[in-house]
Amino acid sequence: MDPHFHDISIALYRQESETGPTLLVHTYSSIEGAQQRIETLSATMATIGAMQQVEGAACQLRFSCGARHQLASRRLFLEACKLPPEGTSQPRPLSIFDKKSSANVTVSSLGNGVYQLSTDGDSEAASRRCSAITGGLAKLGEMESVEDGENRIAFSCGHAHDELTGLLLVRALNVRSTLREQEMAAARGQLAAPSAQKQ
Amino acid sequence: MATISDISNEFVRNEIEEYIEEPDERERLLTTYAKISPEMQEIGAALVDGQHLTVDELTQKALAAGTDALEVMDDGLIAAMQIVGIKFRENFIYVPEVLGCARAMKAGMKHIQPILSASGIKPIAKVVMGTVKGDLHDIGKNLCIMMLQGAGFEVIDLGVDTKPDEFLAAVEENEAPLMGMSALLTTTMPNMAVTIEAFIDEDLRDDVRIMVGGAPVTQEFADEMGADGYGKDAMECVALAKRLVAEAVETPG
Amino acid sequence: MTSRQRVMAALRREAVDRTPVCNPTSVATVELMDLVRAPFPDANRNPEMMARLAATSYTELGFDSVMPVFSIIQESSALGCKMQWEQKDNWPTVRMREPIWVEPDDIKIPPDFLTHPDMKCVLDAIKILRKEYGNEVAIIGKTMGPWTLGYHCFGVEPFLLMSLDDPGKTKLCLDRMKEATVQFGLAQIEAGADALTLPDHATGDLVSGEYYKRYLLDLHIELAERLPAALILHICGKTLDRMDYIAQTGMAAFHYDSKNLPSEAMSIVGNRISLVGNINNPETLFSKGPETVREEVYRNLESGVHLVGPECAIPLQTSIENLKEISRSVKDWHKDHSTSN
Repeated sequence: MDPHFHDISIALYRQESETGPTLLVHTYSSIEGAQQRIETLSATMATIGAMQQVEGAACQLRFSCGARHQLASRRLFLEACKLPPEGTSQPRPLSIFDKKSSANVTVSSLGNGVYQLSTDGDSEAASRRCSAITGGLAKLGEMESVEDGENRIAFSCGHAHDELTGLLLVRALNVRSTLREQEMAAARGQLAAPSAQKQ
Repeated sequence: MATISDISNEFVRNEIEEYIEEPDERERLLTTYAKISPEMQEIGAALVDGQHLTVDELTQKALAAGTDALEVMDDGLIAAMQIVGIKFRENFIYVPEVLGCARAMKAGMKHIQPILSASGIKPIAKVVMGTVKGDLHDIGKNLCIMMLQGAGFEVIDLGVDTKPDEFLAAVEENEAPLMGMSALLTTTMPNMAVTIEAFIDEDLRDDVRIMVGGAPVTQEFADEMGADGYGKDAMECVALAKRLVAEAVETPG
Repeated sequence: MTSRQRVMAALRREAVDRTPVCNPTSVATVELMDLVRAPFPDANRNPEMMARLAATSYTELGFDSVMPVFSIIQESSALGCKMQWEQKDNWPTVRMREPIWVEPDDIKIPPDFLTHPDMKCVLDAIKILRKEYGNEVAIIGKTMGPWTLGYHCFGVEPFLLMSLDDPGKTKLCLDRMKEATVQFGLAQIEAGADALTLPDHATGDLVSGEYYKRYLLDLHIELAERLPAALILHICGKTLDRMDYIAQTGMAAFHYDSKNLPSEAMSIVGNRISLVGNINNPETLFSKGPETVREEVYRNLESGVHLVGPECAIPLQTSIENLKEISRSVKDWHKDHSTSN
């Protein structure tokens, strides 16, 4: 429900077109201004997520790479809905200050959809946080680890999505379950002491 | 290794023999009860049987006789709640019977709590609990709270219809490392995700472990909304709470 | 067959041209509210809005029934319970933590029970729907059973503790409260309802099957005798252990939850009562897509379930597309099966 416009319900629908998957921003509300609201929302998504509007359909969007990016597009929609309709929206930067490690985390685009995260903190904690944030970003963007580099991940579509990455980076700071997965992966194959096995 | 004959109280013996089928749990309870005094076993028997007046009377008697309050709580009440929890999980008893046992536990705790508070014994951890916004059901939450308190947690109960900013404020104010949300309606379940979003927006998500539960909630839904754990009943809630608190200690932030 | 004929035949386990799609509990959603400009909470208190929103299950979703009583609070409101009316994206609820009764003698059905605005709203909405749709679609009303009224009016914990401490007192309370069920049910039948949903939440998540037998079986048999319309009993949660008793009540149908497998449910009830259900709400209708909805519809059809629909009142944010898929799937299944025959 849209708190910025009379609590109308707005949904994001996945659709298939001749050119590949698209997303449709839709409302069943017919109150005055509802259509403009969803057009504004679609435009916001296009700006902050670098999506393209399908020709002739103001509320239908696609990624230029032609891929679905399902989880990321859902997040993009939710973040766009939160923004007030008045005022301009801008893509998020590819760096962020991480309070936990008191350091800046920067995401560098290496081309072909590959991204490298780094921190300007030199403590063990900063390094651990950079790793966790990389994991968080990978999870949120459905990205894969790239083997030839630490904290390096890539979109499987092979295309750059800087705006999407900047958007997801904010939330990647708080995706803790990734850390648990990393610990589990690291612990695979190791016997745990009997005392550690009991609850 | 303890055996059934090591347990002096006949009612407790029968309960364990008849209802505790899982070998590990049985062994654990036998070991526990073999060390518990007959007086404490009597309190436990009364609790499992839902006899709140008897629990009240026997608790007072034990405390007056000089038994340590912590011993009465652990050996008399909490050990018995283990049996109740298992019976409930296995559908030997249902919510009315559990409420009866909870009433009995409260009857004992009302004499013990003031003593423990005065002695400054620290809880395992603080946990904030609430039913989410728009939901006025609290029976599941209350059962979980009772079990959590019994397991040594200090619970901050926000009640029903709890808005995200109320959860936020309670976690911050109490510096609680753990939070639990309950929902009974499919319409209010999304408010669990909304609350987790609020924690992320305030950059507090990493400061707290969040567990969820309630009749319509599932593991899949919990994972989808980014909760740290899901408990399908009050027993699982306690086990989950202990695990999450241990995690919080090992991997802060 | 018209939708109405289809539903009524299925409730009697008679031959149908295809399995009806039925909603004994609410199928209102925020999208449907937007579509017909009938948002909660107003749609729970204004008969025109209530009828308009209820009609969408037939006009938009392709269901064979309409059911205007979206929430479960009307009787409790009329009995004097404190209400929380909420906003567009939540149902109104009874403040069960502020109960109005403690003892059996507290139970009173006020003389203006049926003319209370929340009750009258339902009766007027049913009349509007009957006038608008004539014999096209089955109109299902709803009257709360005494166990649920017990939760609302005594509070859940006090009521369940009473059932443990004093079965005699509990039965007396149920006996007195059932009169509210009967009165409201009769009024809705008179207003034009073809059938009545009777939610009575003695769910396996809270109480045992033995409890159902002890407290509700005879009472439900009596309700089936006294209410001259097809009754659809609704109990959420795990209910396999009480379905045999439910099948003995003489009620037309049992609306059952996704926690029970269709095949197991059917094997228990046999031909003694129709089954309605049981598409999962939170995981399927709310969270997944049309493909998963279709799978669940087929599972029910393959088990021979008599009427297909959601397992309970659906989450208000459920998408219209998922709901439309239910009717589409039923029609496709029947087309495939009549072709293969």
